[in-house]
Amino acid sequence: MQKVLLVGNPNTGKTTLFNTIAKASEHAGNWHGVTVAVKEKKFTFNKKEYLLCDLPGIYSLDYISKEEQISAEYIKENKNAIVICMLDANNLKRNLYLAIELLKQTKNIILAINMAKEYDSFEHKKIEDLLGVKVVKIDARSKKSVKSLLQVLDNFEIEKTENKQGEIGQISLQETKQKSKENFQKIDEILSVSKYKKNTYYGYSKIDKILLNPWFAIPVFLLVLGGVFFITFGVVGETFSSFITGVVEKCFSCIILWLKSIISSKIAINFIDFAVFGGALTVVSFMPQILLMMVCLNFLEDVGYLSRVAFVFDKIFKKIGLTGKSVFSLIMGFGCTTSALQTTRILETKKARERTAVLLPFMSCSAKLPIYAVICSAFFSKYKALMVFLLYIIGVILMILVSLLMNAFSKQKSQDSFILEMPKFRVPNFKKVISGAIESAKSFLLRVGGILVVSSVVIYLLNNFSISLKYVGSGDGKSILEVIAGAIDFLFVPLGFGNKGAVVAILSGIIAKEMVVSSLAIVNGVTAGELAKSLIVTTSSVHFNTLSAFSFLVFVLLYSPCVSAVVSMKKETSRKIALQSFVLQFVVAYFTSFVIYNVGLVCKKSIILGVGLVILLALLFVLVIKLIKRKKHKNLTFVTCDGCAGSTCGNNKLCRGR
Amino acid sequence: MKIMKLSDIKQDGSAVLESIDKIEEKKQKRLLELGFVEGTKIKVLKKSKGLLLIGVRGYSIALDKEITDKINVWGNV
Repeated sequence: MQKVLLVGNPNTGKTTLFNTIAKASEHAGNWHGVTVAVKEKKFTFNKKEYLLCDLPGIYSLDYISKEEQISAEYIKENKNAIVICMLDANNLKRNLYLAIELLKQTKNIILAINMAKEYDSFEHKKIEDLLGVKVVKIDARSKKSVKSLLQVLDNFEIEKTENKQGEIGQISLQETKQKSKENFQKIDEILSVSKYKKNTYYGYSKIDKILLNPWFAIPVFLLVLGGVFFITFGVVGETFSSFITGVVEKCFSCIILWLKSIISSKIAINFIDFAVFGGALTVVSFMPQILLMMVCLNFLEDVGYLSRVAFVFDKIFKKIGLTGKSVFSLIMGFGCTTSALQTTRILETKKARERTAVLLPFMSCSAKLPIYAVICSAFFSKYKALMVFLLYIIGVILMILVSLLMNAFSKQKSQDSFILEMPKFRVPNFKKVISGAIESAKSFLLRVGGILVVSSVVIYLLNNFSISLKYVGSGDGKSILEVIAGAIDFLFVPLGFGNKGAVVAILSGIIAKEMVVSSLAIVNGVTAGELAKSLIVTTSSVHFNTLSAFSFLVFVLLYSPCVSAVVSMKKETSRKIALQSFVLQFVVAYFTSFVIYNVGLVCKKSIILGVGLVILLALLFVLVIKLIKRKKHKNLTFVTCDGCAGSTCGNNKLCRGR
Repeated sequence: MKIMKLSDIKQDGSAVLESIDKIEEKKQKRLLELGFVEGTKIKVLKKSKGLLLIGVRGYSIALDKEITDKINVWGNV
């Protein structure tokens, strides 16, 4: 099968073309480096089979970041593939650089110029003569226009190149200097011959005067974020969710009714009702909200808004040891920590990657939503949306505090400097936004749905059978899970929820956060719909009061991420860091819940005392950071000062270990 | 026209690139590939505290002060 590689600068429309040709619906974004791994799909044209490979965007074959390395090496390994080099008509003055570099490596290239409608006077065929390579004008979104590209592909005669021409990657600075000068001169010549005219700067428009103004941008960002929450968790999400859950619940109860008529065993019926259907219903109930969240995120990304956010927030993020580019990964963390972890690959330095990865679990993932929904509707029904928003804010605040603490401990300053291309601010492609959201929700469902139902069954079994494998039912303290939870539940007494059922839920949440709600329901012996009511009733095996419910919510928000996130983190960073993160989250969660519950208890007696306690804790935190920093500076003075090379540096005290 | 730092160019001001030799090797290579070659015309599109939005070779790119401090350009004060 003939391999066809899609290569090009970031954000030139490679994935869009991939989707059009291979009829796939991969997520393509208006953002630098959305594609972080090679994607492959077969397609046939004119009775010939091809394997289309979508590569992460690269600027040159001399890679710097991890995802560029993936692309460069892939090109190197597939010498006999046909390379389609994607160029953006708006950005030819730079995009052609990669094309020229690729031509030095292989002759099997087709240049595809995307979104060329605005450039009617541009004579692209001249490039064909000047570079000796096929050039096709396309619109990556239209099937009709892509056909002309496929026709060229069909007639393409491959030149087998056995000899290894110039090594890909890592060349000297001197060579790059020489090369860039020559290449850009060549590009200018080509473009003047082909009558390419352009005086504006791609990506920058008048609206950026406002969007990039921090006084305006930060309030706008908060409004936008608030809007996203309102859509997802407010009226729209709520109605959507309860409608779907209602329909599915009706179906399930019909099936149960029918089963009751043919099976007499109550144990078996209960098993199907609570364990199997209960687990499935939990999945169904939060799918609408995940879907809405994804639609919102995709929309903001496709418009080109997220890059503007990165620009505005860079300075603030630098202060806490991240860069503006981390914004994207962190916001994706609101969707799913596991998939957000993959996006850390776009960060150039290892340190920035690791820091962003470790802080990601603080961004409350959407799997925790059903837990918030149930508990908030039971205890904070009037202020439900506000409470959920507050929880998200608590997560962000703790992320900042933890990052500051890490800064104090870390030896070097973050060095990931900011180079970010501005994508165009444009009207989004709604079809793409929605189909992308459906796709990610679907893959999310496939990935966790199965695990969820299975683990729901396992938890049900553990919760209803004794160690000697006899059916004992839950609530009597004899089942396996209750025995285990009973042994460690004292640990959670200082947090206000030292009861077996809550501990069972927390333990199961480590498998997947979605499990917390269904295992609470199982422990209380009710359906997911009745759970909220049962949590208030003091005779249920799991029940809370307002304060302990809040403490429980905060604990769930912060404690160790689910298994799949831990695995993903190990893949993106290292085993050590994944393990550290797991422990860190647990410790932070325990500590925060402890503080909240106990300060809350004090507040009940005297509000002034409680407020005083909070201020005291804040002061203590600042003091600790100052102390660590001072100690560090003492150690570093006079050690490594290569910043000034001794010429103007008269005062060493000002030059602490740069 | 005199040699100055890119970060000292005012918003909406234009300049001609003189050298980027002071920048760390890896980043210097990347900037070269992005079109920051001696003699290239550049424009400061937007200035904020930490970052500059630069127009170069028909596109826009955000660079932070750490980098723009080390880019020398020919410009008017």
